[in-house]
Amino acid sequence: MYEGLSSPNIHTPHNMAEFSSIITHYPSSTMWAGGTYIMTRPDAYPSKVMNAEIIFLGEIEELHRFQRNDRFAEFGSMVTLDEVMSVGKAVLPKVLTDNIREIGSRLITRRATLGGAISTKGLTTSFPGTLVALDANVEIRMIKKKRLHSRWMQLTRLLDRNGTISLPPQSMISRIRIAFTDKNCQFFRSTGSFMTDPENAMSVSFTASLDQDVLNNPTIAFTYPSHGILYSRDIDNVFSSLRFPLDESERRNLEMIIFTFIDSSFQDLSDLQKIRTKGMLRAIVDELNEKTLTMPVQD
Amino acid sequence: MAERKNFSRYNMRCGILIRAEEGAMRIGEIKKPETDSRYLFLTADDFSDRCSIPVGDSVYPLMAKGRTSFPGDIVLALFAPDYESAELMRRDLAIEYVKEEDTEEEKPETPPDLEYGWGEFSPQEDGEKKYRTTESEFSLSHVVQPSYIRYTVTAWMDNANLHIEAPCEWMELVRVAVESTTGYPGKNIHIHPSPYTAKHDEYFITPAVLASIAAMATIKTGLPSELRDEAIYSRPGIQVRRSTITDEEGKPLSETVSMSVDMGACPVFPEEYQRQAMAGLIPPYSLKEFKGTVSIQCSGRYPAAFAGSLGYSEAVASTEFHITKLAEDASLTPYLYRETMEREKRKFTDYLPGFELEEQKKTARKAVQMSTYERKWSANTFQKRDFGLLGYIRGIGMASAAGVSGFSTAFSKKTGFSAVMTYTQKGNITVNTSAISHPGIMRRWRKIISDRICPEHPERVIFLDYNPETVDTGPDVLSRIIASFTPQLDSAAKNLAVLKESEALPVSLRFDAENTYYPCEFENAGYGTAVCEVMISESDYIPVVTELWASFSFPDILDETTLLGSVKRAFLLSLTENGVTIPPGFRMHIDITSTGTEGPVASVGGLVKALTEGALANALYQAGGARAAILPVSAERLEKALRKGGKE
Amino acid sequence: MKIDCSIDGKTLTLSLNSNKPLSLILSENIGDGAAVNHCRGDMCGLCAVLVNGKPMLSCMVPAFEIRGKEIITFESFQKTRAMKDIEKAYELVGAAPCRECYASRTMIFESLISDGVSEPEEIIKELSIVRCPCMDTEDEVNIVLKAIDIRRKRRVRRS
Repeated sequence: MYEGLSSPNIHTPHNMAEFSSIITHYPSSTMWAGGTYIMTRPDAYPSKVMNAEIIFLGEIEELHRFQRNDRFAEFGSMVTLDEVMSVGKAVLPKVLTDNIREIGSRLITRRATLGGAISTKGLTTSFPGTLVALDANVEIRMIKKKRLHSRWMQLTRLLDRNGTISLPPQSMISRIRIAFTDKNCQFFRSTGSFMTDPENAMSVSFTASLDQDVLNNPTIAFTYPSHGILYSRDIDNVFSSLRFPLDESERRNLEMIIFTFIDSSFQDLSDLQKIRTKGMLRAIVDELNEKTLTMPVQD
Repeated sequence: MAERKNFSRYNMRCGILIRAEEGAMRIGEIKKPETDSRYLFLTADDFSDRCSIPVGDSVYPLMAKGRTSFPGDIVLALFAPDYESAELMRRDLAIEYVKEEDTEEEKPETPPDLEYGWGEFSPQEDGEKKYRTTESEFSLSHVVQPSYIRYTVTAWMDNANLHIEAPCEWMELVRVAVESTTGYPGKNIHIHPSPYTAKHDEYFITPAVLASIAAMATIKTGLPSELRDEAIYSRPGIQVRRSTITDEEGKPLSETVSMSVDMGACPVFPEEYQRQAMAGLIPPYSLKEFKGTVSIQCSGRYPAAFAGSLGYSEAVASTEFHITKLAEDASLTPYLYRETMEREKRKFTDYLPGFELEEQKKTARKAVQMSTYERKWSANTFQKRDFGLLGYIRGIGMASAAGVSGFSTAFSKKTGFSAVMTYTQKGNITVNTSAISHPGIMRRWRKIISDRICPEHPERVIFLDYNPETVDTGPDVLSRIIASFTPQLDSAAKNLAVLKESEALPVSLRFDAENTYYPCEFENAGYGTAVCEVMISESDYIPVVTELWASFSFPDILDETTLLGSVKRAFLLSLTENGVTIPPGFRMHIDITSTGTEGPVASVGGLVKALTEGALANALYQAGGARAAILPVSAERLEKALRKGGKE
Repeated sequence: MKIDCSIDGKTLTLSLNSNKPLSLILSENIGDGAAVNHCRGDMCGLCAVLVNGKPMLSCMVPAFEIRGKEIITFESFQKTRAMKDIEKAYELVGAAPCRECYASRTMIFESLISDGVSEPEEIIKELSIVRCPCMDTEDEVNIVLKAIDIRRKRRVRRS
C-alpha cells in the first residue's frame, strides 16, 4: 500500500543526445547497465536515498553495436558478455574468452555487460584486468561545459593509484576496442568467488609472445576484488628480461620481485590471496617453461 | 478444515524480524521512529512471562528479553503495511547494545554426561607383551549460515478462532507454541499446513517461532499478519577424543572415548542426542574394555538444529576416522585392518543389537573393489610432504557403517507417538494423526491398513484432516514417520481387524510406540560403505572431491530409482555442507543391493551423512594430516594446516 | 511507478517501486508460491523465471526492466504440455530436483530443452547457477537430452 515511496526515478535515454541532457540535469545519477552488480548489493532495494536517479542505458541503440575487422573488435559498452562470445571464439583473444567462460552460467553472462563489468563501484571484477592485459582502448563520453565530449584512451590510464578504475564525473564508457593479438601465450585464471568471497578471491590475466626463449610485450595484471588491479610496466619489464625455461631458484626470484610490488600496492591482502597469487605465478611459469621446451625450432 | 479466509493484502500487516548481531549484550534503549497505527513493534515484553516455546523437555527462547544470548537472537518484530515500508522502517531503528562485563551468564540446563561401557583391562607389560596407544581427535566445527529458504507464516482471526498458516513439519508444536506464548486457548487455534521445503528436518522450530510472533501481532491488531524470515542452518560443534590400547599386532584391547557437543544457546532434545551419539561411538571391533562419555554443552552460539542427524552420523564418522589411525599404527591399510580386526558379529550393546557384520563387510569389499582403494591409498602414501612436482596432493578415505532408524526406544516411550484408529459404523477406517506425510507414503499406509482390514477397499481408509482434536503423533524428523510409524500403523490395523468383529461399532483404538519396542535403543537398518577421493591444488587450496564410490545393502527396497536418487542427493548435500567443491566432472558410482528381508528402508540420509563425513575426514587426513581433517573443510583452513604444520 | 507487463499470460498494470526485484514482485504482489527465497543477490539460483523466453534470475531483474515484457513463472509453466516432457525425463533418468530448487531448475531445464542445447558442457554451465547441491551433473545432462528427444518425438507424432 505504501510501497513505492522510495522509488527511484528511471530515465531511459534512447540516444546519446538524450543521455547528455539527462546527465546534465541530474549529475549524480546512477548508471544502470545490466544490473547484475547493482542488484546484488544488499541495500539495492529499497533504495537508501529518497528520489534517487537512475539512467538505464539499455535503450541506447548505439551502445549495443559491435563491429570487427581484421585488426580489432569494437564493442558498445552495453554488449553483453554472452554477445561478446558470439563474435567468434576463434578470433577473440583466448584470455578474454576464458574470462567470460569462467563466469559460468549464461543466466549471468546474458545480463552482464562489458561496460558494466568495467565500471562497478566498490568491487573490481576480473574483466578490467583482462582488458588491461589486452591493452584495450575505451571511448569515454563525458560532459564538459554542458557538452558531450568523446575521447579514446587506454584502459590503463583509467587506473588510479589504488588500482581501481575511476571515471571522470558525469561520464560513461561507450565503446571498448580490443585489438586482435598474435600473442601466443595467453593465460587467465581466477580462483574463489569474486561476488561472495571477495577477501580471498583473485584472478590473473597474462599475455605475451614467446619467441624462442624470451617474452615479447608481456603484460600481466593481478585483480583482487576488494582492492583493485595490480598492473605495472615494471613487472612487465621483469618478465621481458627473463629467459625461459626458469629453474626453481629463478622462479622464486621472480616471485619475490613481484611480491615486492604487490606488498607496496596492497598491504592487507589475505594469506589465501597471497598463496593463490604464488600458485598462479607458478602455473604461468610452468606453462611458459613447457612451451619453451616443446616449441619447434624455427629457422 | 476451515478454509483460509480470503482477505485482501491491503488489510494485512507484513512483518520482519530484527536479530541481534552479537550475543551476551544488554539491550539498551530502542529508538523507534515516530509511527502511526499502521506499524507495530513487538518485543519480549509483549509476551510478558510467556516468551519461550516448550520443545520436548527443553525451553526454546522466542525473543531476547533484556539481553541477547546469542548472535541472531530475535530482538524485535516489526510489522508494517508492506514489506518495503517495514524494510525502510528497520533502517530508521536504532537499538543500543551495551557490552556486559563480568556477569554470570544464565545457561540453560544440560543433562548430565551419558556414560556407557563394559569390561576391564589393565595393561601389564612383561617381557613378551608390549602395548601401544593410538589416539585421535575428530572435530566438526559449529556452523551457522543462511539456508536460502524463506519461511512465511500467516495468522488471522475469524470470530474467536485464530488461524495460522505455516510450513509445518510438526503441526502440534506450532499449536502448542502459539498457545503457550499468546495464552490463546488451544482449541480455538487452527493450524493450516502450507507446503514447505527443508533440506534437513531441522527447521521445525522456525515455523513455531514465526507463528507465535505473527499470532501475537494478530491478537494485538485484530488484522491478519504475515511474518517471513529465512531459516538458519546451524549444526553443533563436536569434538571426539579417543584413545585405544592395542597389542603388538594392532589388535584393539581397551578404548576410552569422550564426545563433547556444543549445542549453542539452547539444546533441543539433548538426551536423545546423547543416546544417538553413544550408539555411533561404540566401535564395530571387539574390545575387552570400553568407556564412552557424551557430554552436552551450551554456549553463546546460535542454537544448533538437527542438520540431518541427532549425533549418530557424527559419532560414526569419528569411529571411522579412528580406525584409519589404528590402521596407520598397525602398518596396514584401513581396509585390510577392518578385514583382520572385525569379527563376524558385532557385540550386543544397550544401543545396538548384535547384528552380523557380513553384510556390511560385503558392501566394503564392493566399494573397495570399485574404487581400487588399496592401490590408490598406497600410491598416495608416497606423496611428498609438500606439493612436490605435481602441484597438488591427493587423499582417499573410506567409511563403512550400519544405519539406525528413527528415535531411540527411551525417547519413544516418553513421547508416545500416539494416533487413534477408528472403525466406523459405515465400515470406514479413520485415522486421527498429526503425521500427514508425503502422498507416496500416505498411499503406502492406506494400503497397509486396508490389507489388514478391507483388502478390496483402500478408499475406505480416511486420514482425518488436521483440526484442534488431532492426536499429536510427534515430530516427523529423521525419517521417524517412515521408520517407526509404519510398523505402528500395521500393528494397530491388525488389532482393529479383530476388535471390529467383537466390539460394538464404532470401535476406536489408541496406539502408541509401545508395540515397536526393541531390546536395544536402536535397530540397525541397512549397511553401506563409501570411498571418496579429494584433491587439493597448490594454486588455490580449494578442496575438490574428484570421485566417490559407494555400496549399500538395504532390506526390502520398494523403488530402486527413488532410493538411488535420494542416496545421490544425500551424498551431494553432505559433501557440500562439509566444504568440499564438487567439480563438473565429478562422478559417483553407487551400487545398491537388496537383502530381501522385511523392513522399511529408512534413515538413508543419516547413514549417507555418516559415511560421507567419515570418508571425507579420512581422505583429508591422508592428504594433509590431522589438522586438515577438521570438517567443514575450507581453503583457508587447509592453507593454514598445510603451510604451518604439514603432515603430522 | 506504473508498470505494464504480462505475467503468466495475464496482462497487468502494477504500481511498484521502480527498482523492486522481480522475485519480490512475484512473491509479494502476485502471490507466487514457487518463489522460495530472496537471497538479495547472493546468487542462490532459486528464482529463475523466463523473461521473453530467456531464463533469468528474477532477483536480478528490476521492476523497470519488465515493462512490456512477458514473464513465465513455474506457477503457470507446471500446467503446460512442455512440463510433462520434463517430468517424463525426470522419471526416465530417475533423478529430479529437490523440492527447494524444483521450480528454478525446471525453468532452466525448459530453456535448454526449447533451445535444443545438447552440448554437455553448456548444460552443466547453465545449470551451475543453481547452488542447491541436490543433482548430479551427469543426471542433469541426461535429463536435457532425454527431454529433447521426448519433445521431438511428440512433435513428430503430432505432425
